[in-house]
Amino acid sequence: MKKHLAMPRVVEPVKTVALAILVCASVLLSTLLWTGTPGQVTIDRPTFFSSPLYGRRQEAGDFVLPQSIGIWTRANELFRLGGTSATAAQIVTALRQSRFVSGVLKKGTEGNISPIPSSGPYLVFNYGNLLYDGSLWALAMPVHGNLPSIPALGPVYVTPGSKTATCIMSFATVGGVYHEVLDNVPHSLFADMTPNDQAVPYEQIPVNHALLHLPYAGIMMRVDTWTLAQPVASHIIDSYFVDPSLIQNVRGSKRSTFYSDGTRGVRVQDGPFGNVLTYRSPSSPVKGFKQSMAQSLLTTVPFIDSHGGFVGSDVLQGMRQLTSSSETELEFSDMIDGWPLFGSLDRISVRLQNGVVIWLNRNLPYLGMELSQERQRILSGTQLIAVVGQKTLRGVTNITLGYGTVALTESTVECVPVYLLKFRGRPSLYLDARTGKPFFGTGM
Amino acid sequence: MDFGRVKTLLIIVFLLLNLFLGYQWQGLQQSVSIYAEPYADQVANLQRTFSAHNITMKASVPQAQPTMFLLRVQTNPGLFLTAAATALDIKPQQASEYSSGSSEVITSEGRFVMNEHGQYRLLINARYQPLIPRGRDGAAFVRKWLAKHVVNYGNYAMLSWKMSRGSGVASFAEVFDGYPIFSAPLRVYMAHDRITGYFQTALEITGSLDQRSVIGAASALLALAVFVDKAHINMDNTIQSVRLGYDSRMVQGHTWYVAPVWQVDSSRGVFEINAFTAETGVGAS
Repeated sequence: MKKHLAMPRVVEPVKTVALAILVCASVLLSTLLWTGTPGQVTIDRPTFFSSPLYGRRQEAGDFVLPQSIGIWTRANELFRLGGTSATAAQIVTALRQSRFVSGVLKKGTEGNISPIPSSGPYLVFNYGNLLYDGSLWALAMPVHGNLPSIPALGPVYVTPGSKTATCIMSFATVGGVYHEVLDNVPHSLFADMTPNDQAVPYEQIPVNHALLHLPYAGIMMRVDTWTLAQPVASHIIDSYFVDPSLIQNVRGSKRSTFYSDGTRGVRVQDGPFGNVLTYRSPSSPVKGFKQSMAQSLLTTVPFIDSHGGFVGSDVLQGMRQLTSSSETELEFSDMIDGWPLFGSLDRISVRLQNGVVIWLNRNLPYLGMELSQERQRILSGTQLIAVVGQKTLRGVTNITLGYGTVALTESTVECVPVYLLKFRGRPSLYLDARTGKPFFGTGM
Repeated sequence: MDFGRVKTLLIIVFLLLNLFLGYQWQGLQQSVSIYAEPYADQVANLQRTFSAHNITMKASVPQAQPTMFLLRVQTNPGLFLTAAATALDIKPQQASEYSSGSSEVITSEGRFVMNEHGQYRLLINARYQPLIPRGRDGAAFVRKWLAKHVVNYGNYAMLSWKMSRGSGVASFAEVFDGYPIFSAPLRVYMAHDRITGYFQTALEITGSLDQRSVIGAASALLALAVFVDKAHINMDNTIQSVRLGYDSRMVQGHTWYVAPVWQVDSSRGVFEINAFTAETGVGAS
């Protein structure tokens, strides 16, 4: 009886203590679980702080297009197609469906051998210098079969072959001229050798030992007024740093602010259209490292995609190796109606070293909405030369038709047709394509 | 209400809950231990990764993970006359007498110049170039000479001594909190067993911001492996040293910021990994 009475007195306090210990243990274990769960540990977060995309994403292949295509007809008449025109796209698509059969290098020097066909019809693809190291052939012309990656040092010529559905592609290369035979060529390619309404009649005009390609007649071109879109700079600045909480800003002057985390830097300064952004990630060359043009392009396009994107009908205007600094420079610019937009608006310049982007420069404002459009007649090539005079044209190496920009207000800009004249040993000159008078645009 | 029974029921419930939580916690410990690789395994993994890119590791991988800062630094052009007087072993008031313009002092012993970035250069005239004793005493002699001829020499620590046939360079760097600032070097030039001059960047620390723990050397080397992989850098290379310090190549006027970096010296160049963010770049070769 005594024993029976003593039990509850001992058991109940023990149960209370045990319950308290169990409650504490559950709280402790819950806390350990909550705080001890490892977060995702990542190194190098290239996209986490990416800016909101205000332009468009592009693929590297979108940029390996001809800047223009020349059509030489059977009657030896010349027509020009803009590289971004629908017909140019059809021609490139047709060539991409063909199949590589064979290739041969005809050795010789520039003086005694030429890739230019003796008579029409044929097509001339102007890729600028994009095929200089041959690595971009796979993106430019991904034909079936074993197309060799041979450098093309000038335009690429395509003539119909002797057999049905074949064509011959020729281009100057190191040590001679390379000829390739392609078969399985769609019939549409040969149909496109007959100029349509997208093709502008051109002529070859000899001026001071240079053979210039210029419009044959006074064609109608657009004179447009556009709004300037102004993206928010702060989001874009953040995107250039892995950890924006480390960004420190140093105001250089009233017109320029510099942001840095000690490793990378972004300068935002006043420009002709508004803010100009320059990104720098200083670097030194790794001894013996070389990067192909294809690798440079495949690195640059995703970089721009994750830092605001492309803003217009961008094309890759050129790519060059700066041998003194082991850097590669790429320049993207906008096109209007298949004609290049000259000047700094909508231009993106990028430099790479050791396989990474180390410098980028672009205007933040870009062509937004078209407010008004009218069409005006421009001077033909012959008229231009007559207006300008042979004296001004001394030393000219090339004349290109395109568009220039004039800022009308802080938020509107006018695009007008201009001729860009390039000279040997002196600065380039812009002429208003409607009058032939010097053109002093904004940001040009 | 029978509180005894309720307690018993609660004890059973909490016992089961604790068993469940304990099981979960044990599982968590096991999974964490997978990530927390032993140091030796980390180094072995790195060597394997590097060998895929033809990189050989011939350096020890430090284990320290201290807390460091983003430092605001500036050059001090006002120190020029004092620096010139120290370098040319003259009195400060004499330095202004010998000065030619605001950034050059010339005496019979040599020429002391400051460039637009506030960096100093001493060129000693041939007949006054001190003779360095051969052998082990050479470095000690140079240090002693520098202590007398370099302003703020006490802030510098030696990084390397490259001497061959009486010619070479001794490299020092200004030190903050025990870590070298690679962008504040002191390079002493030697030729024919004589000191011919030096180049010095003297920085003032005007702010230490964002104190935080740095990534380990193994993580930094892993970031370097990712960098060489992305950039397709596959030439033969040898890593010779891995050290922690401060650096920046983003020099902006007289004031700029230096970040903590892991500096990886290799036969192809000097790689730098930001010790806060793991961004990788290539420094001066």
